[in-house]
Amino acid sequence: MMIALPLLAAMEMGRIPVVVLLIYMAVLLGLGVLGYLKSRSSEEDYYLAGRGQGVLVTVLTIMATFFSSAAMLGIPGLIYRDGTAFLFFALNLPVSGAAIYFIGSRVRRIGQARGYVTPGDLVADYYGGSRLLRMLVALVGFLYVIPYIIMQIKAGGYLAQRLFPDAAGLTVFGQEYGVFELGTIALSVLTMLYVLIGGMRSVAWTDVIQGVLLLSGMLVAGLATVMAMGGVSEYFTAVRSLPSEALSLPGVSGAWSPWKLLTICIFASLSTMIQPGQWMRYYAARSSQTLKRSALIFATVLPGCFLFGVMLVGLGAHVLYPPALVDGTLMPHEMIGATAGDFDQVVVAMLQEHIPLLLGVGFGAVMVSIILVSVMAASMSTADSNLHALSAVLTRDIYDRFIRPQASERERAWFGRGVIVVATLLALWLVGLGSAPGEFNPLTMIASLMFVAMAFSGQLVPLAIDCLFLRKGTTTGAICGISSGILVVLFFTPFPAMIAGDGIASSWTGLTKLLSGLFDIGFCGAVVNTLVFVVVSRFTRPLPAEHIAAFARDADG
Amino acid sequence: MGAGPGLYLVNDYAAGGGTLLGMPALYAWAVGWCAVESGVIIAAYLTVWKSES
Repeated sequence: MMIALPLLAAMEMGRIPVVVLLIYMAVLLGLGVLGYLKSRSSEEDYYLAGRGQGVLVTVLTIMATFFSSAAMLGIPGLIYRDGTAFLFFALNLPVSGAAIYFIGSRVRRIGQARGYVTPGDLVADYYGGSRLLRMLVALVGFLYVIPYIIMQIKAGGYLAQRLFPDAAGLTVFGQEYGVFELGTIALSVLTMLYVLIGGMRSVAWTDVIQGVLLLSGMLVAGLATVMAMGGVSEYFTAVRSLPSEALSLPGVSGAWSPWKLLTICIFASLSTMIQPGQWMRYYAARSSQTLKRSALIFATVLPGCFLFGVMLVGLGAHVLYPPALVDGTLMPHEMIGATAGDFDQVVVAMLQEHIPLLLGVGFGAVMVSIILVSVMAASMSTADSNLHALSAVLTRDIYDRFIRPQASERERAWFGRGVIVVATLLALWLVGLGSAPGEFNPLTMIASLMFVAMAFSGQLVPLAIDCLFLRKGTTTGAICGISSGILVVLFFTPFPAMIAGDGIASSWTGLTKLLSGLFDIGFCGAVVNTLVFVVVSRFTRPLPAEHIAAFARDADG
Repeated sequence: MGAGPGLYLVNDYAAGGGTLLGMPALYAWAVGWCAVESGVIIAAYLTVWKSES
């Protein structure tokens, strides 16, 4: 059954989006300044807010860091493209919640006891203070953070295009900036500013506002879609009438086998929960009880927001605006977007078309603006945490250890702020490259970036499990394991082909395509990582027993 | 069972437009397994997870 609804091709939203956006930005900057005023001038305070965050701040900052533009744009985009198959992504959320308790509590305990700030502090300290291992852990963090920041910034561009479709661009020093570019610049500069000003305290406080906004935005978006289609019964009747490939695995694009979904749900959740931004949130929590409660809230609230919220938008759009094969490529409906990468725009397009019809143009415009700001909140709350974490990782694990070990705390603080500025500019530049037609653009959809980033981060999982729970590995084993995991994941990205050329690359792309069709790519890397780690550890010098015992006392409590 | 090979139990039925509790079968399967996972976390929180001050 196809539901016919009148469409508002260009909704007159007037100045409402501008006003809502300005209020939102002013609140964020205000919280940034407040965070600065409450801060103490120490490195630990800038990066961990004095290790005193309570349940409300901890759970909302973990949620807001977890929920990025991928949650609000990328995942609904995949459901719009593939149908019900990708709904099973939601099953990673309770697993992630459990990880907050099992991993987070131990990380917090030992971090508190030994004054750790970054993941590298813990891992390198356990494996005998290895500088090479610290560098590899920092590299994994970097490879996670940069793609994640890029996709948040891209979301800013999409939103600007949708909110201000008729806005003229700007010409600065002879360089023309379109609405997309201006959106990316606005989002990244604002985020950069409040991270620079107040560090973890500002990031966490803004995450509270952004977390509430995005959770409500997800639910309201789902509710609006169901109402626009005539109510719950009519919605599910319409969905049931979809073609069989949209109602079953492996989905319309054929991408989702049960094993792939299983490995994503188990492995991607762990990868996301041990990335540097989340790891530092465990250090910053006031107590293990704080993390225990956060785990419970996370595992019960978030699946509801996905399954009864934003995921319904993607499925509803598949009914209203079915994707179609054009010259062998699966493309979104013209109402949603014009390129294969535009599946991401489904939430924004759906809301703009249908909310005004439900609520009237005036109130509808306010609601659309608020929900679109919640999409922006999802992006900014992840970008800020990642920028902040990257600053800590590069300052403590690289600058302080390899470049200027004699640097004062004040010098390190300035270097950390410099990292935030440089990382923002680098991400903006990469987004610019990716949006230029006909040039470098290996990953068009936000969700693709998400899976690559998680795959790199996931290479820390075997080491984290070993040093927090098993304590059987050796330093050499850990170094060999994580290096091989990073290399394997790298082979799943377009970069080796760009370096080696298509001729040489074709020898392995067949294998990587086969494997990535069957499993999560991070899982593939982690299998090799774990095997190498175990085998090399078997034949190399173990860590001193007293060192392991002392570590265990601090971690186990 | 939830997101893994257990999906083969329901996939053919879902492909034919089958429903569970009025919802498309795969959607209902996802909601059901999410409820099971969340239920396990709630039970663990109340009974197993170690409390500390």
